[in-house]
Amino acid sequence: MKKRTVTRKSFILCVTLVCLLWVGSSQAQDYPKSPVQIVIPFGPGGLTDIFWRSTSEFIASNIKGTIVLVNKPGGGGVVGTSFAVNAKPDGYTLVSANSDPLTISPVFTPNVPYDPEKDVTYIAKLAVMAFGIAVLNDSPFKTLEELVAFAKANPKKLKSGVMGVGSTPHTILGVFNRDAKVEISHVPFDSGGETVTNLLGGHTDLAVVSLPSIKSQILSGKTRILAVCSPKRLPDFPEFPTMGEKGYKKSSIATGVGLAGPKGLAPAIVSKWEEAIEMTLKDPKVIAIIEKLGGVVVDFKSGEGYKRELLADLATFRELLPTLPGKK
Amino acid sequence: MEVFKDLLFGFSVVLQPMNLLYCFFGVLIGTLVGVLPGVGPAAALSLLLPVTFHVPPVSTIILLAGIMYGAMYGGSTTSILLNIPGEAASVVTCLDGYQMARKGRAGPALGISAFGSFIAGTITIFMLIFLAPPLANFALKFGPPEYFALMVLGLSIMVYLARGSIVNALIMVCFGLILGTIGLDQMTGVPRFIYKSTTLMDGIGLIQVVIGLFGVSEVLINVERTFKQEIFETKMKGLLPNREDWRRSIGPIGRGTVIGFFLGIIPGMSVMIPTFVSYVVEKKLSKHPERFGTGMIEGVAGPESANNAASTGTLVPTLSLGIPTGAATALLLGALMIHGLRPGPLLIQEAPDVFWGLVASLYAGNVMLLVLNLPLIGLWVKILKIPYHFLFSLILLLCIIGSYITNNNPYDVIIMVIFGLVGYLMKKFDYEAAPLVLALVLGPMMEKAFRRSLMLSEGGFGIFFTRPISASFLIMALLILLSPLFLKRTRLRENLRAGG
Repeated sequence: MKKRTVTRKSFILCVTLVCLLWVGSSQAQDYPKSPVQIVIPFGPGGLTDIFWRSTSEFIASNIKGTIVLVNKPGGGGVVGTSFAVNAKPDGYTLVSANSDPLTISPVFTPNVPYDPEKDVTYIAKLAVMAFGIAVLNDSPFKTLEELVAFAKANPKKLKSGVMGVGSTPHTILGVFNRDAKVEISHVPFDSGGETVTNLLGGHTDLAVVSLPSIKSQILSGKTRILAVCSPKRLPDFPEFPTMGEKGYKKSSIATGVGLAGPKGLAPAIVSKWEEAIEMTLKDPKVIAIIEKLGGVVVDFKSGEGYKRELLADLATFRELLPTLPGKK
Repeated sequence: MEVFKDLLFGFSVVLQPMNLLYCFFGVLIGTLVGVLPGVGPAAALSLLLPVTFHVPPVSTIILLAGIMYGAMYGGSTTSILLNIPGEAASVVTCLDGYQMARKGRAGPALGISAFGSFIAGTITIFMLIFLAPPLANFALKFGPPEYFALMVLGLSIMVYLARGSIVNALIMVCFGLILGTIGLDQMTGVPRFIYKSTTLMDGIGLIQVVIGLFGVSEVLINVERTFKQEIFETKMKGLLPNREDWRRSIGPIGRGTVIGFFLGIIPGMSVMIPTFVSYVVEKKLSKHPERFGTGMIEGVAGPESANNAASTGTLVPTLSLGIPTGAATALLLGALMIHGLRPGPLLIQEAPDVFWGLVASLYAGNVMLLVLNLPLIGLWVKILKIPYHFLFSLILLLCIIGSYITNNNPYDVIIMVIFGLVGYLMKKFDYEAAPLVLALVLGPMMEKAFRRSLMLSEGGFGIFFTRPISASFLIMALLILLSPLFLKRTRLRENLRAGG
């Protein structure tokens, strides 16, 4: 008798759940009914955090809902990303899809608890953050060619500030070293800010840093950029050549910021977000805010497009990274 | 003088009703953030960033800066009342502040930390105005070798932190250093002691350790005793510091201010370190070093002034060079940039209203904080009149929320509970928590600075001795370590004997 009640209870539970799921998927029309949590897998104050806080309000008004941004930092973005892609795929837990935890961490960090190909539903790509090779303004190197010539003549003599192994700046320097056939030593720092501080203090000869973290130092004339890692020249710094122009196309790695959710997210929800984001990123007011961050470039792509791009990067890094100096 | 004209201009900006209102909101939110353990100023700044798009840049920066230094006022409250540090920067305040509260002197403890913060805040504003540009450039001279030497100095003065046995303190230092190695190695990405746990990838959280070691362990100890005796002296001896308290505190406040400001300027320095240095200095200068840790007002006045001074100090590189010194200042810079301003040397010329408005708002905010905090003391102190068997569940709840909310990660709560138990055992066997906490903070910083230095020098140890700043720090550390050999009757030796 008792056993029967249990089975009956679980049967009712199952039916309810199925109904809920069904209702949930068929009623994407009135989604979102409650606030949507977007996990930022980095701490407050970082570029990703500032980016989302500057734009989420506009996206929210386009999707006619409320967005709550939650910082879940840790493990270079792996902790927050893993939390969100393992959440219930009801569209109320999404994550800022940064390329670092999706393309670099799976190669570098052991036991990343998700598969960027199978466990993630990609919604859209919003922007890229460009990195650059920076030197002090009174540095003897006026161009990238001069830097390469000196580095060739003096292997290991030049020290570059980067972030830790497995970060985008570190990967850029590694690929650059390989392609330019030079040996510039890397000194890893914890943040872009710290890298810039050590460059300004003259402790390192050059630095690979994100443009926003060094923007005010460029404007005040303390530092120069020899080349930017961006597919095309930056709108707010048109005078800086790109890595591609200098013949180092492969080291032109930029960090993408997108939106993703757990696998099995209803297509209707995905397309709703896709549309809202596309609309937001066409708003001149939003573009102006993003451009003021300096070095962040609006780069809208559909979820499918972003997924293809990330998986291509992942494949490249898989074969590339083990051959880089500093990771043997 | 030109500067005073500029400052007056700043006040004319701040005294506009709207800006005063933003300043008030800032310090109010800051105080709340400070009181709640686990919620740091950075999280609050980040939450308010979107709001600032709708207000002028001056008001934005006044609001955000208010949160930063307001948090330093609030942080002491839970440290003193409940032995839970509201911010990492008020860990040291627990040592003597909480003991004062247990002796019925919570009022003077809270009072002196508010007055100390106010005095430190006021003095450092003038230091900021007159010294900012040359100091900021000096701070840049701190490269990895200088950091390493400074950390060595920090670790060697840590022996003075110990109340009881030095041997026990050294054991705790080693324990802290070992805990500091847990996590992904930032430089090579090698996982160390994480046992496949993603939570441990970034190491053991400082906030969780601190809340566990101080807050939870205290509750466990008290619950054990509570049937026998009262935890807090219920008869309050005065709500404000008396003449004697002032006489003893004025020196520590002055020294704390100077220490906090100068250490705060160095980018990447945690606000926690100046507070420890200030505590140790006061203990060393005191005629009764043995009574530190039993409710000495000097041990509250110094560190509380130091953390407020340090939060002004962190603004020096931020405003004069445009370099963030931590997550909170990074957000401040972000807000300025979104408004189209260029933080850095040009700010003062391009947007004088923002720069001078901010400076004047620091003063206005400090006055507001004092006015806001003094009446609150009466209210806070009443909390202690709640019978402990009700109060302790509240404390535990606060500990759980605080440890969860920093990273929104439930596993952090488990870590906090574990350290609560560890802290309980430590108390039982007479091991102190403060050296452990400081080692946990310094250890990873020191390791990274050491390895970076060697990367710069291509493996040569000479780099530490050929650079003047780092060499002088190392010599000072050596002198401190050798001092017991030269001094005949040192406390150190007595303590060694006492500890067996």
